[in-house]
Amino acid sequence: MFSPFEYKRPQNIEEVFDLLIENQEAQIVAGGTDLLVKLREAAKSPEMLIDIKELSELKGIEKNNNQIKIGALTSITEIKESSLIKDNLYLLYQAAAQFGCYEIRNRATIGGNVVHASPGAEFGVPLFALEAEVEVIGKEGITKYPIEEFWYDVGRVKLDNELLKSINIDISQEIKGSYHRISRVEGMDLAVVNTALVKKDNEYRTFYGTVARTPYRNIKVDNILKDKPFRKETFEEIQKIINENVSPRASSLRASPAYKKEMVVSLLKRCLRDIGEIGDDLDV
Amino acid sequence: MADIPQVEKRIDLDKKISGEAQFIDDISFPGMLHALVLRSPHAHAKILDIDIKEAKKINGIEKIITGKDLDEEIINIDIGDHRPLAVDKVRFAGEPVAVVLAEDKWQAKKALNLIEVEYEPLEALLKASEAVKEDSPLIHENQKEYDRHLDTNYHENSNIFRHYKLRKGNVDEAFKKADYILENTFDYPQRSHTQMETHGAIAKWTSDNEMVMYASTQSPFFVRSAIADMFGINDTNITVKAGYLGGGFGGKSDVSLEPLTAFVASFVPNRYVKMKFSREEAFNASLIARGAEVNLKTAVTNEGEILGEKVKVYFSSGAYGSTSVHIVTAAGHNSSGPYEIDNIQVDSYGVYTNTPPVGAFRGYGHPEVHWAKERQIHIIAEKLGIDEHELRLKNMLRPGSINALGQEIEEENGDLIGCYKKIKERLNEIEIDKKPNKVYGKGIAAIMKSPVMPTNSAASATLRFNEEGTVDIASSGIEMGQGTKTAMKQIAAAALKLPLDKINIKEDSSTDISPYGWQTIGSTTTWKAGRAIVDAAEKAIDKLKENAALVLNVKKDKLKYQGKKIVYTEDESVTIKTSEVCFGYLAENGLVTGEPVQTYGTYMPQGLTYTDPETGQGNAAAEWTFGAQGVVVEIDKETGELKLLNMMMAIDAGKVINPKMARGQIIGGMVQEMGGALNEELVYGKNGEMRNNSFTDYKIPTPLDLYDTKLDVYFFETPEPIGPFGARGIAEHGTVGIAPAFGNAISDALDIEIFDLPLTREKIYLNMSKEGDQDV
Amino acid sequence: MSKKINTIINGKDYELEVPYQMSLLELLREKLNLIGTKEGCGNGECGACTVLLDNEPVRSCIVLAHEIDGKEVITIEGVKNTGEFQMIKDAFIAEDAVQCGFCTPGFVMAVKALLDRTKNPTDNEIKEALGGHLCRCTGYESIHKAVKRIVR
Repeated sequence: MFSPFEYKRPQNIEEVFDLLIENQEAQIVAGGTDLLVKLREAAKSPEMLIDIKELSELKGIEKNNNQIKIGALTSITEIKESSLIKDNLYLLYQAAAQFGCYEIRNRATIGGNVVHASPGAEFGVPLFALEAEVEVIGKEGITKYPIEEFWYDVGRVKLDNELLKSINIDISQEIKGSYHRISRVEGMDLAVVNTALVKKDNEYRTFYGTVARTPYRNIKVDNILKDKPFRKETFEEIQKIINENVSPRASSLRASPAYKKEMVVSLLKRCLRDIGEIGDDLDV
Repeated sequence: MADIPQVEKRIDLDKKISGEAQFIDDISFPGMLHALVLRSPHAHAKILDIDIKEAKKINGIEKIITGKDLDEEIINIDIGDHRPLAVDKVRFAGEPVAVVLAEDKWQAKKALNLIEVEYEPLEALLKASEAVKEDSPLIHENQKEYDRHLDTNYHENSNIFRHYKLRKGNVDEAFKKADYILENTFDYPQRSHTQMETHGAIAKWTSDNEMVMYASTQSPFFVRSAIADMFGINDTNITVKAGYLGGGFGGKSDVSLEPLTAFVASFVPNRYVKMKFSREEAFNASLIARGAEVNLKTAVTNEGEILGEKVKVYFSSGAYGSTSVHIVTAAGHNSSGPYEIDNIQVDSYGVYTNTPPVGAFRGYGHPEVHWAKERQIHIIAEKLGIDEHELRLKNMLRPGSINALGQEIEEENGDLIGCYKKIKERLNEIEIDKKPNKVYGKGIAAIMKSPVMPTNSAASATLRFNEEGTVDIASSGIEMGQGTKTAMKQIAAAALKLPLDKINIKEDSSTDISPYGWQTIGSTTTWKAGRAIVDAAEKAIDKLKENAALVLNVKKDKLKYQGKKIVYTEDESVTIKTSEVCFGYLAENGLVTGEPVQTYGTYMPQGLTYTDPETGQGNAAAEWTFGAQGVVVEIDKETGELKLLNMMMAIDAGKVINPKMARGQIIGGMVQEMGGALNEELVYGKNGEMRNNSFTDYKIPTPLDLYDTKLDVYFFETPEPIGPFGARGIAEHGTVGIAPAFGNAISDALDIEIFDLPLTREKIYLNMSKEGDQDV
Repeated sequence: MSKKINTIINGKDYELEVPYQMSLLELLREKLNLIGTKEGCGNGECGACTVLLDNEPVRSCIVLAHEIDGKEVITIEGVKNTGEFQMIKDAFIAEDAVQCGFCTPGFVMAVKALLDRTKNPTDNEIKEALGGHLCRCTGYESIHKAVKRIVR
C-alpha cells in the first residue's frame, strides 16, 4: 500500500511550475511504473504527487524538417508502434520492444525512463548514441541540452522546477543503429547490461549501459571501429580498452563487473551484425 | 487395474477462471482488524528496548503487541526454539518484533513507522559453513533447554541442531579397494517458493477461550495442534479452516504466520484479526527453501562399480530449526541417489543460520542431494572414460537391490531402469538444428524420492449417501492447484462404481468436522487420502449390502454390488437399486429396513519405524517413486544465454488417476525447479538483510522462457501395491533431477563443470573461459 | 485527501470517494468487493492484478484508483459474460490450464485484451501479450496450448 499524499493533476503547464516551486518535496508522476513501485517500498510518501498526464505540450511524436521530436509523455507502446521511429530510428524500436512487458509499456513513458536516469535504462544508451537533445521547459521558458549534459549521474538530471518536454533527434544524416541487451529471463526483466550503436557516414557512436554511472562511451573504441576489416584482434583490443576504463560496482545484484565488461563487447558484435558489418562468424 | 472415470474438467476450474474462487485475502469481516508487523532490520541482534509511546497516539490503533507481552508461548513443532515474537534477540532480518492492530491499514502503517526499537547488532552468520566453525557465535545459546518431540542429535555448544547419521557397510574398506575416488563439493543456495498467493490468516477468539482461524494453509490440523500447544490448551479449543490455496509447494505446510496471528488476536477477543503477507514478507518473513552444501566422496572401480560413498550435507537452515529437521533426514536417506551402494556413510546436518527459517519445499532435500549425486556420476564417467549411461545402469537400483536404508527394492516399487532408458533414448533421437555462435548440450539425471513422514501419518475420509442416491464425500488434503479434490472424486466414483455426477466432494476443510489429515505434503495425498476414500467406499458398500440383504432376505455374502444396483449372485433377477437402500429401505407401509449409509475410512501406512540413530537405517519409507529426466539446451557462446529446447521426464507413476492433471504436476515441478537451476537464489547483504525480496530481482521462469520448448512426459504404470487402484505419489518428483540435468547438459555443451547453483547466464559465460574443474 | 470520481466498472455506473493513495486494485477488492482481481506482488511484476482500463490491459496495483475518473474499467467479473470468455474457458478446460487459479484471472484479461486487438494473433503477438504474466504452478505449457487453441 502507499502512504497518503496530496495529489494534483494540473490542466496547464504553468500550474506545474508553481506547484514545484511551492512544494519542494513534491514528485512528478507520469505513467507511475517507476514512481509507484518506489513509493510502495517507502516508509513515507512525498507530501504531494503532481500528475502531468494532462499536459498536451509533452505529447506526440512529430517530424519537423530533419528532426524527430518525441514528447516526454510518449508511452513505450507508442514508440514501439510508430512507423516514423521504426523507419528512421530502429534502435529505439528495439529498445521499446524489450522494455518491461505489454501492460507496463502502455503506461510507462520515455520521459519517465530518461529522468529516472538509471545507468541501464532501456532508453539510455540508444538516446546517447543518437546524440539526442532534450528540451526542458520551466517558468522561464525552454532550454535545450545535449542528453549527456542533461542526464549527468545515477538518478540525476538537470531539472530545476522544470519538466522534460521532449527528446529531439537529428535525422539529417542516414542513421544505421542497433540496440541489444542481456536480461536474466526472457519475460519481464530489466537490462542487466546493454549496448547501443549508431553509425552515421563512417562515424561510430557506441554506448554501454550499467558499466558506469551514466551511459558510457569510449572514443578510442569508436575510432577502432572505423578500421576495417574487423578481425578477432579488433574486439580483443576493444575489450582491453573497456576493461581498463570502466569499473562497474561490485555490489550490483544483477551482474558482476567481469560479466558486464565482456558483455558490452559481445553486444557490440550483435549490434554490428544488425547493421551488416560482421557476419555470424565468432572469429571475426 | 480398474478404469478410473475421467472428468471433463477440474471441479474448481469454473470458479477459478471466473474469479469467484475465494482465497484467504478475499475473506473479510465487519470490524476486522489488520495486523501489520514491524520486523527486525538486523540478521542477528540483541533487542535493548522497544518504545511504542508515540505509535500508540495514532488515531484508530486498537493495540500494539511486542515480545514483552509474551507469557510462555513457544512454537514447538519438533524443537521448542521459536517464540511468535522476538523477545531478547532477533535471529534473522525480517523477524517480527512488534505488531500493530487497527481497522484502517494506513493508520496502522503510520503507527508502525513510529515504533522505536534499539538494537545491539551481533555477528551474523549466513551460511552453514560459517556457522559450524569452532569460534562462531551461537545463534541459540541454550539449545540444551529446548523441549524436543524427538531426538534431533543436536551438538551442544554449536549451531548444529540436527544431525542425521547413516552408516551402511564399511566405507573405509571400500575406499581402500577403490581404483578412483572423486571428491567434490556442491552448493545449492536458498530459494523462495514464490507461491503466487502469499501467506495469510484471520483469527478470532471468543470469551470461552476458543479460537477460529481461516488460513492459507496446507495443514489445518497441524496448525491447530501447533497453536493449541503454544497456548497450552486442547486442540478442540481451536478450529482451523482452509479453502483454496493459491499455491503451497510446502511453504504453507508447517506454520509461518499462524501462531503470531493467533497470539495477537488473543488480545482483542471477539474481533477478527487478519494478517496477510506482502510479497516482500512472503520472501523474507515466511519460510524459505533449500540451502545446502553437499560434500561428496565417491569410490569406484575402473569399470565403474560404485564401491562406497561418504557424504556430508550441511543445511543453512535459518534461524529456527523445527521446519527443517526432516529435510535433513530426507537428504540423508537419499543422498546416494537411486543406486545400490553397499558402503555408505552420510552425515546430514541442520545448522542454524541468521536467515529466515527454511521449510518444506517441493522435493524436500532430494533436489539438493541429486544436484550433487547426478553431477558427480556424470563427472566420474568422464574421468573414467566410461559412457555415463552405462555407469548409471551398472549401479542402478533394481528388484533385489538393497537401498541405503536397508530396504529391499521390489518390482512393485517401479521401473527405474525403464524410465532411464526411455529418457536416454529420447535424448538420443533429438536432432538439433544448429545455429551459428551457439553450442548445444544434452543432460540426463536419474531420480528417486520417498516421503519422509511420521510413522503415524494418517489420512481419512467420510462418506454419506443422501436420500436421492447421491454421495457427499470429504477427505483429508487441501486443494492448492494439484487437483486433489478432483482426483478424490474420480477415485470415489471408481470405488463406488457410480457416475461422477452422483458424487460431491467437499473442497474445503474445517478441523472441527473434516476428516483428519496429516500435512498435505510429501506427494502422499492422492495415495493416502485415496486409500481412505476406498476404505470408506468399501465400508459403505458393505453397509449397502447389509441393508439389501435385509430387504431381499438373503445372505449378505451372496450379494454383489454393481454400483447402481445390488444383485443376488444365485439369481441375478433378484436385485435392488442402490438408491433404494442407501438411506434405509422405505417400504410402502412406511416401515424402514436398515440404516442410512454413512461411513468413515482411514489409511495409515503400516510397518514404518524410526531409523536407527546410529545407522540411520530402518523401514522409514512407505513407498518410492523412480524416474529420469533430461534437458537439451542451446547456449550462446558470446553471452552464456541459455535457451531450453527440450525438457522431459519419465516417471513410474503407478496408476495415473487423471492424465492431464498428472502431466500438469510433472511439468509444473520441472519448470519450478528450472528456476532454481538457472536463476533463483536468495541474496543477502553483508548485514544479513535479504536484497532480492521481490520479483524485480528474484527471477522465476516466465512464459517466454518456455514458449518454444518441447516438453515430454512419459508415465510408466507399474501398480503401487499400497496406492488406490495402484497410484503412486508424483507431485514433487518433477523437481528432483532438473538441476543436475541442466548441469550435465552444460558440461556436455561446453566441457565445463559448475558446482554451484544457479547456472546463470553469467556463470556459464565466465566459466567458459576457464580451464578445468574451477568454478566462479 | 481524497477525490470524488465517476467511473463505469463492468458496465455499471459508480460515484465514489477515493483516497488519493488508494490503488485501483485496492478500490476493486476492498471497496467494491470485486475480489476476482488478485494481488500477487504489488509492484507490477506478476500480472495477477491485470484489468482493462479503457480497453487496455493495465496492472491495477500500480494505477491509482482515482485515475479511473471518467474512464471505464473491466475486471474478470465483467469479462465472464462475454463470448470471448467462453472461448477462453473452453480452451483452458481442454488444455487443463488452471491449477491453483491465482494467476488465472490475470491471464484471462491479457488473453481477452489480445483477442480484442486481433482475432488471429501470431506467435509473437501471443508471446508479447503473455510475456509479463507469472505462474508458478503450470509451467506455462498448458496456458500456451490453450491460447494457441483459441487462435487456431
